Amino acid sequence: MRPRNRLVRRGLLGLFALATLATGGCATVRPWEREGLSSQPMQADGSPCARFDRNVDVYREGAAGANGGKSGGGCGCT
Amino acid sequence: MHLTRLLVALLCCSAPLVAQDGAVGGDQGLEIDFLVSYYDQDGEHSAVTGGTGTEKQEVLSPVVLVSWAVNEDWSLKADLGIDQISSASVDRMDAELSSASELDARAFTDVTATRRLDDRSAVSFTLGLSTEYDYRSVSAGLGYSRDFNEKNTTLAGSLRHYEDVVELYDIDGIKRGDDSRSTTNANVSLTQVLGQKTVGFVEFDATIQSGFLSTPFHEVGFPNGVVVAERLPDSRRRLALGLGLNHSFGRNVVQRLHYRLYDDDWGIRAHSISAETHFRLPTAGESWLYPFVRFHTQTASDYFGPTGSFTGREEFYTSDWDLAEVDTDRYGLGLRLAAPAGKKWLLGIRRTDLRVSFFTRDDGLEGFTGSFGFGWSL
Repeated sequence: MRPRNRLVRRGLLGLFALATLATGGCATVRPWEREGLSSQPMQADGSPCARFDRNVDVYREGAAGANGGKSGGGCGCT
Repeated sequence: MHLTRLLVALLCCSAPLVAQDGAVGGDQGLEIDFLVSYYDQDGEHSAVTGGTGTEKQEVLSPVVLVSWAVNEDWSLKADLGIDQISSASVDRMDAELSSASELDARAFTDVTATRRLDDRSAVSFTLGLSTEYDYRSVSAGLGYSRDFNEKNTTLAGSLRHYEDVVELYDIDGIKRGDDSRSTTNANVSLTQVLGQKTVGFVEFDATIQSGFLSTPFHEVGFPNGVVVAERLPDSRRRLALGLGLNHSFGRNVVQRLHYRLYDDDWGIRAHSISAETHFRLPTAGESWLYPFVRFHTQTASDYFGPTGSFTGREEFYTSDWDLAEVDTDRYGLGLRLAAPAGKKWLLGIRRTDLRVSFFTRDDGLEGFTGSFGFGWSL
């Protein structure tokens, strides 16, 4: 297995481990309990400036989609 | 190139200079943001010259984003932008395309209207247009979202179709008519609140493309010095699954993680993982500083081969290193500054955004991106 594949798979494992530790299941959070969810970085959409990075990634890699960016079509590069 | 990068970085660093408290103002549902992004790259595997020449390229991309809450039921979002692209490799092509491509521009716009159906659901309609010297695109889309479980769960779906026209400039830069490309994309996403400090996302994208999917001026070298245009299949199925997790460690630190698995029927399978750690700054408004990293690895397309690897008997062939087995890294730093509630900065600006990053691909390609934005709430 290539070192990069190992790195990515370990990262993925870490992501799920963190999710499991952090949550312990899907809770119903009341509106008055959402202070920790309301800050800007907690929102699904990241920085508006990140959209340009995502486009560059689509142009310089063979993959696209499922990251809030381009999925194909609309320009000569995809 | 280094001077331009320095200027972009200085522009980004100047953002705090506008962060001076000003007049008091209120939000009335119209938000306007202006973003300008700069990108440069260089490498030695240009597909335009058969996978061997310089990939030196610069892009300057100003974009205006408008978001308008028309009333309680309707809202509009519009993007309008222009990419100005200078590419050394395309300029090396012969004949008529060469002079036209010294500075190519792509203009694009997307307009989305969203209608809230009730307290929990909304439907949206999107129209998109883009045009560049050798490509035109028209697209339309439909979306639906619904909240469940006291708004702890949001399920959304969208469908978008693109009809594109490709002007067929060949490897000598001579126009040989045009052809069409169709793309249909379906997206389903689930957002789930997982606790008082954690939210998770799952997103699935399925894309079907058909028509002319090659780039007509990409060269491929065959034995005996014969050079031809790349040839790729006329259909492509692309699937992507994204998983995201945002977790707040107290009030001042937020960790964002994202993983994507990608697979297509051209033989590419890819894994991408990214992490952003946001640190709250001690300012009156909500401001964050965030370093970020992204790692990507992909297998090669079945049709890719480096220069000199083709026998001339293959049905499909390309030397485009974007479709090769590569690893890429991106690392950078971002800063978001927001004026305190009810306050504005110089010129009425309410927020600024900046982001710089370095991109490397393990075939030697290196790139730099700088983005700077500021916005008003009117």
